[in-house]
Amino acid sequence: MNINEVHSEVVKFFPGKISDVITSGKLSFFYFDREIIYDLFLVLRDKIGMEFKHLSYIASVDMKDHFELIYCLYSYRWGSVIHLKTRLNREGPHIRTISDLFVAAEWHEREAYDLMGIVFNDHPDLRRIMLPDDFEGHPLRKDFVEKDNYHGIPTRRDKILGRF
Amino acid sequence: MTLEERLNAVKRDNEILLNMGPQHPSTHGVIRFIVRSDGEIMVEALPVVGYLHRGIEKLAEMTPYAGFIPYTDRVDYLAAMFCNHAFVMGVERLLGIEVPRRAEYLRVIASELNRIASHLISLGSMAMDIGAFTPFLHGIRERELINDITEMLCGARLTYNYMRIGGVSNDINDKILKKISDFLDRFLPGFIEEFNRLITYNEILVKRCVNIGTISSEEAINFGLVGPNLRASGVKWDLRKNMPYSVYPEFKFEVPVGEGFRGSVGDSYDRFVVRVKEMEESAKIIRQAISSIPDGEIMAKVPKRIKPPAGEVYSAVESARGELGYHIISDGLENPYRCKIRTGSFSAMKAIHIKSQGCFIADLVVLIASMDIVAPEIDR
Amino acid sequence: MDKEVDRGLDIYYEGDGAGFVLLSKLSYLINLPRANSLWYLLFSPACCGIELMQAGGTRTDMDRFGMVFRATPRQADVMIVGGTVTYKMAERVKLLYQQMSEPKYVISMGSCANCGGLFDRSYSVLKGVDLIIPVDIYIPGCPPRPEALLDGMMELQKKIKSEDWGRIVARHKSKLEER
Repeated sequence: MNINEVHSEVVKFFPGKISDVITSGKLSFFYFDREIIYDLFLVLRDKIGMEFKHLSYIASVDMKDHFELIYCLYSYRWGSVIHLKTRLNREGPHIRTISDLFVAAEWHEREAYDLMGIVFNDHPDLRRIMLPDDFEGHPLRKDFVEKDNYHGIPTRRDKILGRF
Repeated sequence: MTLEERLNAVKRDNEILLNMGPQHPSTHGVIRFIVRSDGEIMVEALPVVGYLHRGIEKLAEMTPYAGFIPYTDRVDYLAAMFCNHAFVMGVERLLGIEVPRRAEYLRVIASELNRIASHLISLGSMAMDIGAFTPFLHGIRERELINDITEMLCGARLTYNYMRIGGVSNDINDKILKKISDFLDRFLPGFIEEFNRLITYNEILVKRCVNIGTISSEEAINFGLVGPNLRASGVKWDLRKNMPYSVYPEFKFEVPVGEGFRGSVGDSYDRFVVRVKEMEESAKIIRQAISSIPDGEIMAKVPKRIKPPAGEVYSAVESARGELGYHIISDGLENPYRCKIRTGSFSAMKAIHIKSQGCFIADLVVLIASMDIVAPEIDR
Repeated sequence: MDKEVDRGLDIYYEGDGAGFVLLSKLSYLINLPRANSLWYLLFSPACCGIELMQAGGTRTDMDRFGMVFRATPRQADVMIVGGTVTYKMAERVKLLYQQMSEPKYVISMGSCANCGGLFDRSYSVLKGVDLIIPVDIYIPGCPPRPEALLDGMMELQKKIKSEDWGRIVARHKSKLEER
């Protein structure tokens, strides 16, 4: 099933909460409202004919006035790949986790929390994964400013041959 | 929540907390495992990553497209050609450039040589973790020959920076072709048979690897595993056959799938044998490629300043460790707006966390080594 | 950084050297076995580590110089920092350095360990390992060839052979008298 067939199937279940299929560049996807995420992924994973059982990645993007999350699903049975997107507010972004449907989502959501600051409700273990626990800020945001020093170590090196 | 809170939340009495720290001879790179065990049987092995997080995705937003290619090498330095290939393929799709056929053949030859080199290191270090030092040196010896070939081809031994947007950087000549075919004559079947006789059918390796970390096919798909890990669990999925790209449809090769060669389907021994068979198939592909390289140019016509039109693309290749994909979002300017890198080792860490419950500490080492993880793929 | 151990690039001699003739012959005898059996700590965060492994491999064999790899810092003389050091890892590197026993040396291998290298605009990379531990030899390259690493180790051997035990003994004596 490609993205258009999936869209026409899914729109029957969730009328009004799914946008049309958009093609941007070489990628086709559709938006969904963040409230229906659990039921939508349950349908995509278990319905015969779709069976998208493999979650490839969850990417978080900082569009200047809101955040976006991109989900990529593979169906090995039918050999297809689809992309889905959802929009989140810039202040206090939160969405329900899908780590009880896909085990792989747990680490991807932790990475989105760490680098972008998106909170996933009901996540079993939401904490920083890549950065040290006492790091301040979320680096992938466009308005991230680096601090001057980290526990006394300077973060910029102006003279290569020589110390500070 | 911090790490201490997470550990304290599940603490029990009469439990040992063991730290397989970031500097350890048998974790593949700087990865830390906090092992909770009562004696010899483990309750949980909690992975802590991030010791090699260099912020490559943020650096992509500050670097022009053509200047980002050396950064992609460092995402997985053992299989750097694939990382280059995936990124360059994505940008070419956005720009609508068609790559000349000679360049595609050169890309395939370089990639498959890189796959052999990467599997040699991974099999060698798996044997080294079990305790045998000699197989590692066997792998290193063959890898030196491949390093010589790539040095003649592009000038570097480890981080190649060989592919360019629109083609490749250097052309191949008869001396290099002769060297590749000499290497293949020596490799297949001579080296593979010797390797199998010494190591793959070795009783000690078999006894240490069989029935350790068995992952069934439904679990493997749910965990997000890709590459040889997925194929060893019985799922026949290879991006070169199922979603073909480049000139792979023109070559004849098989995709090895795990069948429970000595134990159950999807255990560590299956993952070992699948990698050995993949090396054979790569050698066959290279043999077919070097006998039929077409003439032509190695670089397409590319504009001086690369500014793809606004849009998105997702391009993936089948790397030595699974699917390596780049999701590039462009907004019409010189730098990418967002570049998300999807690697195979990141999802494998969660599988190790779950499968380590209830096995011995010595088996944890075998499990980690058989999943073939490298630290920069996890942390980027 | 440790103030007691001065590892500058220049090695100079104090005093007139007259009383140190015997000690200089002794220095030669002490330094020769130390320089010819350097045991290095296998510590390789990133890509330079692979070249370190290849240097210990079959073509560029470091074993013929007496250099063997050790897995624990307590048994090592040299720490070869090969690869990018991040802020999360910096504390561990310092711990590893402190766990080695004197006399100890550090080789900084590759651009990332020298000065941050390719990643010097990143938010989580330590710009050079000499911000936290004292370094003796810098080896440039990205990654340096195994022959370059071997050249760096031989420079370290030269540096060890020219260490003057008279000065070291005199400095320790004066420190004991201070206390």
